[in-house]
Amino acid sequence: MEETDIALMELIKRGDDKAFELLLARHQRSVYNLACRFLNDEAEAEDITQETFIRVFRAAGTYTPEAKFSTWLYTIVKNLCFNSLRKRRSVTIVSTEEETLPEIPAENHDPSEIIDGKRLRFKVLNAVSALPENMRIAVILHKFHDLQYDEIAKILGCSVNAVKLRVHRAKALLANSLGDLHPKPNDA
Amino acid sequence: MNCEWTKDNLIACIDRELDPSQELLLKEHLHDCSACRREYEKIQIAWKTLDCWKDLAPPEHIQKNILREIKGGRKAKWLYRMVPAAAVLLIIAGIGFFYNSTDTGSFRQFTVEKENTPVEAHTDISQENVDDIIVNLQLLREKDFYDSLDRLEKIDYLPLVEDRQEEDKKESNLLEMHAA
Ligand SMILES: [Zn+2]
Repeated sequence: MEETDIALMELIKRGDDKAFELLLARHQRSVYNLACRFLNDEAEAEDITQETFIRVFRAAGTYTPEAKFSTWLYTIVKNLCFNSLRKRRSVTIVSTEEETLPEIPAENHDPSEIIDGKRLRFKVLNAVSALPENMRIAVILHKFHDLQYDEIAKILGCSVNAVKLRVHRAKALLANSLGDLHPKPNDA
Repeated sequence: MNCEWTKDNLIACIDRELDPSQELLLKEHLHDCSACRREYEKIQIAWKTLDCWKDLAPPEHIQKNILREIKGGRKAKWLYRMVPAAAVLLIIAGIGFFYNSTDTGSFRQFTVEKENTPVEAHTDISQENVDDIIVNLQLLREKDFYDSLDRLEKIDYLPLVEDRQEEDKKESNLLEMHAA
């Protein structure tokens, strides 16, 4: 029978390295992709994945399962991602205009044009990156990690209604930037 | 139902958050209003389009780096716990070295440094070797004596007896001159 994440954490606490390897193999993909999509930077996502699991290992001794393991894990990733953005901001001077309302990257395209997978992915990436951070993380957790609003609320430390509102607003913004695209039938 | 209410509730409808009666009213409006229907489609297309952003496989070195870091941390922890034991061992070794470095220490150094000595450190101890060792020990004691002779030879600034007598003579001459 497959061990639950909480059972694995208990084994790690007792010094079982194999249990840690199992936990790592189980979750590294989702951790990496959450960081990757949120930061839009593969190298930074690598660092965050490493840091996340090192923190998990170090915290195993004091870990008490109060919520789902994944909620705790994603909270670590989210915190590291926001720290990373803060650091980025301290080295890059961002104009206030860029921080306000997201817009589709200016590119002349025919709305009826059928676009290939690569270009479509690029547009999606830009559209999601243009969302404000709090909306972006909520959308990514909801869309790509299949999390319900209540779990996202725990991760983000806000109310369920706040999460719902963020996702609704994000959907409206994405409808403006991606709603006119006509992907090839096999692409989307 | 008007367009404003419909547009405000399109997403709630897509997410199945409206109660059945409201949902029915909204769907009726969509059937009749092409503008709202277009909005509804755009939201659905956009959300569906996100599916093209596929997962990436995390690079293999991530796992290796993490495991290396974890194991390194374990070793460091273990070493940290060994510090008091290592300190005790070091003190014992220090005391041992102190006692060894008195007589036998210099003897060992002597036998090792002087390549021509008749005793070799690693030979089995036979009666012949025991004799050699005794001879060597005697040589060692004598060495100290000869070393002291060497030192004496080097001290040449001490005035000899003859010189001293001459100086005394000079001094008495001087005294006589003053008295005169
Ligand atoms: Zn309408």
